[in-house]
Amino acid sequence: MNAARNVPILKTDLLLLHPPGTYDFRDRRDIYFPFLGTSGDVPITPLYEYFPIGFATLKRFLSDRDHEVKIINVSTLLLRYPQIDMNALIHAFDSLLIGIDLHWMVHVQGSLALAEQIKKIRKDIPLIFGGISATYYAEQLIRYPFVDMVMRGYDTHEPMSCLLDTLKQHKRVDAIPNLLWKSKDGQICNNGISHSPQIYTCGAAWEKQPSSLTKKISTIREFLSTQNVGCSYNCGWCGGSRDAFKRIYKQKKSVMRKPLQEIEQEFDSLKKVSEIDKYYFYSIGSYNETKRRMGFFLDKVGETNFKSVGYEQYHLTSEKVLKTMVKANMRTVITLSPESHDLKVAKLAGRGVYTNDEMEKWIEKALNHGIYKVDVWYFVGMPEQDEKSVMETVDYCRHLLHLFKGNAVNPMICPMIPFLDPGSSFFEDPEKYGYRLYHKTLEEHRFAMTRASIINRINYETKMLTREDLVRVGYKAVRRLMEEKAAVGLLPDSWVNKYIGKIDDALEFIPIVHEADCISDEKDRQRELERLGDEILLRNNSILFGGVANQAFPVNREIGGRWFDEIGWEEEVFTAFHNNIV
Amino acid sequence: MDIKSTLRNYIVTEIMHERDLSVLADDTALIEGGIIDSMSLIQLVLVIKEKFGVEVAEEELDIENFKTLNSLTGYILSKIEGK
Repeated sequence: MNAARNVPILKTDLLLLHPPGTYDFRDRRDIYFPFLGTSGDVPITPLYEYFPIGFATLKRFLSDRDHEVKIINVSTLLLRYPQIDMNALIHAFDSLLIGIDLHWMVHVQGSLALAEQIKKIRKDIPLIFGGISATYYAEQLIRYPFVDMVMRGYDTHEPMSCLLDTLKQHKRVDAIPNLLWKSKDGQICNNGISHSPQIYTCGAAWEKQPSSLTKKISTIREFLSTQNVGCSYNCGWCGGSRDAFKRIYKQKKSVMRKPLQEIEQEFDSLKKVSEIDKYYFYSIGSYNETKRRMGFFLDKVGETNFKSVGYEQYHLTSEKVLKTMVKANMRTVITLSPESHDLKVAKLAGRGVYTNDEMEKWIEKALNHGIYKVDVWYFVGMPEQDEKSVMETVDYCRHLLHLFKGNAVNPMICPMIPFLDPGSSFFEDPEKYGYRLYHKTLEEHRFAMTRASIINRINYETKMLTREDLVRVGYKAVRRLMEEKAAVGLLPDSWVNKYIGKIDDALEFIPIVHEADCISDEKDRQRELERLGDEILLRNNSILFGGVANQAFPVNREIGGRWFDEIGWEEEVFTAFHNNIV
Repeated sequence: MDIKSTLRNYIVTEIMHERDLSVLADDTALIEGGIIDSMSLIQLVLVIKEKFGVEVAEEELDIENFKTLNSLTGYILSKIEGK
């Protein structure tokens, strides 16, 4: 307890902080966060609350080596407790090191703004960044005065352990592999990148799960796991794809796999979770697995009594594997992501390995084998994809809905906003693939995320779709698809009508904010945005604090209970930091 | 068939994939017992609309209304009576 401030001390060796997409997002009258129910497996707000799974594996690895690690998801914390005084909270930090992730670029502004605020208050605690984007932009990142270190690489477990040992012994950090750092006099020092293990070292320990506040009907309970880092496949838009992985980490191999004993340990920890039979388990990256490893993984799934299990699949899964999946769990959900119904567009996006006809026949077989549900994901913003093509994808979704009646097949569509991943092939060579970039540097991306208009935040346009088009066509496609789902009885009318109402409001308000945000004279722009401030704030509060919905379950659910809703300490601890108390 | 029997029949056969209707007692916990999840909830809401003409609004998705067969029946009855 800090007696002077009458608040607890938040003591740990390593404090990992996951920033919101925008920090501080509370009471913002100058940035509009329009509603868009995502198509992903777990609902999120426009703050992109999920943290990289590396946070969870780091926590386990370092804990096993006697380093105490706590994770605070700052998005979750502030969404659940909007009254928290962040300055008071930062004063209470007592750690050897603070780590902030910059994995997905969408967190660029949030991560930098949070780091800046921490450094203002706690100059004494060194601050380190890590993640894919942090590695990609390491040289630019280290130049921000409030960033002390950047840990580069796809597997930083061992270097982070060395770093904590070194800090505990008050030694110099110049022997820590992969570290880019600043000396006390501000000199940038590069230790080189020598730690590149040919495996993904460590699994997570899932025993303790974030609690859920919810009194509403449907609590989100989900685990996520990956068996590897990198990818065998080469989707041009993806910063985690085969070529992007090789490019960013300068590796010959594009997939590093978790040892089987680590996968086994991860499942052992899952078996210890209270009421595991109420959890959905989502497996990403299993499409990268060899037959033998996939067989092992499915055996482990079968031993763990999940409520349901989801697998994202790149190819149409063989009947043999489908049968094993169903045997492992009766409620198996397969996610296919062809990205477009148009094979030409799908191929350019890095998919297109099956035709629509082949997919339909496969779905029929999969359902006959006992697959519980098939989700089909489509994307807006792919090469050669114009508005007509996007709306034809929605037409095709309608066809799927009529072909497979009931709720067994659920197509979803989403625009790729705000960013095309830095490091991806399309980002690196935009002209070749029909893209034009608006933001390239770290600072350009950071600044973009401070723009009032979502259109101005987007970092690309295609030959076919401008930034305005990406937003308008994307929303329009989601809107029409939701209408189709109501029409076939997949979703209740009243829920869809409410969902569509939010989309319509966004479609109406986005151009108003955009027009104001594009006023060239700064004073005039600020005046106009200030005039819109009340309306922006009203909408933001409703979107951010009203719960989370996605296209699969388009009803707001309360924040909490998702695997990434970790806040480090018991909820009671944070009540001491409420504005009205401190 | 009355409301409770219709609901029981649907939940047991379509959600629990069982044949014996007695596996679902009037006071069995539907949500906390893990019988109804988000996927099956959507189906249940659609069935409630189809069979009883009752529209379940987003704000009525309260754990108390869907707690057990008894509470769900009570909720539907109150909606029908309130029409």
